[in-house]
Amino acid sequence: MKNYPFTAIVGQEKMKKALIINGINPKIGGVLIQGEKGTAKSTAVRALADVLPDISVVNLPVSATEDRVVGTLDMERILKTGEKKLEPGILAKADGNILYVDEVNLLEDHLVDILLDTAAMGVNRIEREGVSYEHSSRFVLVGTMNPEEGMLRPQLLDRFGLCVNIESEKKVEERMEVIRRRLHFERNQEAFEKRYEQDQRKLKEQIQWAQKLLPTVEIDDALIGTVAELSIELGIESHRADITVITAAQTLAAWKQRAVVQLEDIYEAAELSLPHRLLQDPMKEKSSYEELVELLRYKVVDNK
Amino acid sequence: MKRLVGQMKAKRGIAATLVNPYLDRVCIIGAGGTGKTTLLEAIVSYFPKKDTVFVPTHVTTEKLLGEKEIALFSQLENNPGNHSLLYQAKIVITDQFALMSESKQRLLVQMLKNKQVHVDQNSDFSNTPLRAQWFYCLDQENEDKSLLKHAKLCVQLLPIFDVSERSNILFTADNPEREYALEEIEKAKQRLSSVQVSDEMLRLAVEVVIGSGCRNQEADIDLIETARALAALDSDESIEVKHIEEAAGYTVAHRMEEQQESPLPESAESHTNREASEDHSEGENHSATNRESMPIDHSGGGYDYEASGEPLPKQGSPNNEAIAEVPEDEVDQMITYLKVQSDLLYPKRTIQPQSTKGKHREGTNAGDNGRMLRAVSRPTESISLYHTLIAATPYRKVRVPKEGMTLAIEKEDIRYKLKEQQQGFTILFLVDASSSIAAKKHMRVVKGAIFELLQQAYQKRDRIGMVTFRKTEAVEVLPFTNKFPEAKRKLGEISTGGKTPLAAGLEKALYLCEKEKRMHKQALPYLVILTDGNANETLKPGGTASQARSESYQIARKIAIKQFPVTVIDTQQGKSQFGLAEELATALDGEYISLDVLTDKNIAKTVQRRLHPLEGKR
Repeated sequence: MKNYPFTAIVGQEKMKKALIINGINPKIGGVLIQGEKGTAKSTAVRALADVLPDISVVNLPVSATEDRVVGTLDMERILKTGEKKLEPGILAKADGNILYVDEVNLLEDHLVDILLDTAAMGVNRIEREGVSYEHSSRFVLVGTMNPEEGMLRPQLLDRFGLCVNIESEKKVEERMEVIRRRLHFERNQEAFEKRYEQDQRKLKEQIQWAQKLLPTVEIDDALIGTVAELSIELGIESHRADITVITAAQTLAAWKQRAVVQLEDIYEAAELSLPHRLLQDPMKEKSSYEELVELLRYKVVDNK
Repeated sequence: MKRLVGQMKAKRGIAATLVNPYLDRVCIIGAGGTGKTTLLEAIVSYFPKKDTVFVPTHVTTEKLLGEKEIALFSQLENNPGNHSLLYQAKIVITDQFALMSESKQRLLVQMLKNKQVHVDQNSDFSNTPLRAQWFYCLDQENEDKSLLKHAKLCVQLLPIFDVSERSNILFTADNPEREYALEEIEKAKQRLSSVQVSDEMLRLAVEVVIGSGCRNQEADIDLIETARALAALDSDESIEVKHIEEAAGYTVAHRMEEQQESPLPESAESHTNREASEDHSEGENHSATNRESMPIDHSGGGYDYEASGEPLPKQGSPNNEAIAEVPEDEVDQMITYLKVQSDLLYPKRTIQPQSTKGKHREGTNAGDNGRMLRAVSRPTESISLYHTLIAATPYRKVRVPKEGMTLAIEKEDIRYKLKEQQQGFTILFLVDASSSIAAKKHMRVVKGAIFELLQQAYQKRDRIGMVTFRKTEAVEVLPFTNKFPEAKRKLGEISTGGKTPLAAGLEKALYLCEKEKRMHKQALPYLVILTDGNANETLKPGGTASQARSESYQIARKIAIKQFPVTVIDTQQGKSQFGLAEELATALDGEYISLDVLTDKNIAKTVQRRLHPLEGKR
């Protein structure tokens, strides 16, 4: 079965952007996609793998066992031969790939802890049943959640580099286009894929260029200062936030095939990487991200 | 499908899913005994047996994911048992989906949505696609309607109140004749790809979905796909308005719940709602009769033929004009119709969810996930290899290993992992809303405390509920939840004032706590009562104050016997304390707290300290 082409997804530009820059530069630290059911979250994540070189999407099911996530001893082998052998888990498989956690807010606490640990260190350490073993596990963490089903722990929230909120499309025309494309896709996958072949190839090339360009992208000190000021003014405690904004801005510049970071990149990056780090007062009626992002916009524009 | 008498509407919905495999998540909802399982059996008969997988409610995570099984005790060399249960399934059936434990439900749904199954081969997993259609049943009485939303298409079975039809059910139980013969379905399947979808119909579908307040954009596609299948069934060449309307009943109505719940008091709201929809449907009927070209039975709300089991709208005679341009009120009409439909799906709380479900819950809640505490020789979910080997080591010299094995391990050496799962508490606030106290202010404070606690609820896995009592009765304002937005919605305005029916409040609390305890074995509900203890209304309104007090003490004793932990927070402050709340606390075998200042933070802290005593000291 084929994946729906990434370029054929209608709208949801922010989500697409966030996914692409993570694909270009895994150091951004993953993305959390918050939104209602049926907003093409999963489709987009799965489609992403097709436009990135040598990357696949590894799924972490919500109720997976610890053994399965971390890896465990190959019991059959031990019993038959007496040799200890490790059976790799999902984290081993995720190394160098995208780790996709659907409904990340419902993940069990001890799994969240493991995930945090591994994501931070880039290494999965297995200490169990008389075996010590470690292997590298660097992955782009992509999570989706529906905020109505419970929030995420702040620690884990901060761990996601970027965060996007998506909503279902309100424009009738756009929604009709969504259905049209989907119908076409269901009817004839080959033909549909052909139609988007060129777009897909273009996107792939652009990503590869961006990856090449990325190490050379420069950012001047004044802009770094802007980011720091912004964080202080917004009362963000996490330094990771600043670093993420800058990394994301660099990647965005590379994506736009520029070797120098501009203020607009900073703005775009901040919009993606700050919302979930702002302190939220749930007692207030208007706690929506949009408002805070709006504020952000003014800040950056003022600095121009 | 003849097995099931009547229920044409449900059957047509199912036929649509058989024609169009895109509709791969199907829910069958109905009251007990309306033939859900019979319908499932009918569905199964359309497919070869080997493609069908029944998922039992007690299925384990390992079984679903296809965890590697150990061929240790198996005589067979190549144990094929390590595939996922869903591996190569075409049809997945879960009767009684609601009885599965929540994590399993989620896992199953995720797997079906992802359309992938991990396959374990020589410790190298790969994914194979999973193309299965999933049919699941839900009980109408089930309170958790969120389960409905997993479905792309939902059909409802209605009880039949017609004597001749009911007796038909008794007589024709085993009639092999089918209403939708396999050939008919096959033919419709072939027609499916040639069904045309015009832009007008697309627009209509999108407008209906947006207008219905359903926030799931996927509904658009599901609606069109269902309409296509229906058109194929009717041998129509393109989708028409009637198909959209019919399909909307299957694909949109069950996703509309949000709209129904508004912060208004429930009784009043349902009243106005019903009235409104009645008004509308009347208007609808008028307009339908006015417009001659429309077949009456279909624009009349789709109501008639499902009950009477009449044949569906005859083919043909579609109004060409209506197709060319979609009238504005078409959308409105359909939305009104959908509201009626979804009202049927979400009965208001008048039906008491009394059922036999408590018992089934027990086994499924056992935590097979969690941290290992220690090894035990009593069998649990998983073997601890390390401890097993240790246990076997002393016998190494005297035992001879079985052929092909390096180690000698006997049955008695096997050790199991005892696992523990972090379990949250359930907190019930019972709040005096009568005028005898400064109720308004207290209500605000309690609300604040609940919000405060719920903010931490995700980490601590606590669930919180609230009951208030005033005038003559106790009301469950907030059913147990750990979801912040839900609490915020439900705790909007709480009315205060009136007499103090303390006994009624306690009784309600006792009922809820017992119910909770039955449902979640491990969790012991914790009761927090905010009152001055001054009861002055009896269970049957009109009693004297002393009667009211003795009644409430009697119920308090009942609560004490059940050993629910209780904290009574005195709302009477300063000098004028009568000590009544303290007396109540004694009767409840509970803790009595008199706070100098009642603030939300104070209450939240008191509760936290009691539940998580170690928290502060870490």
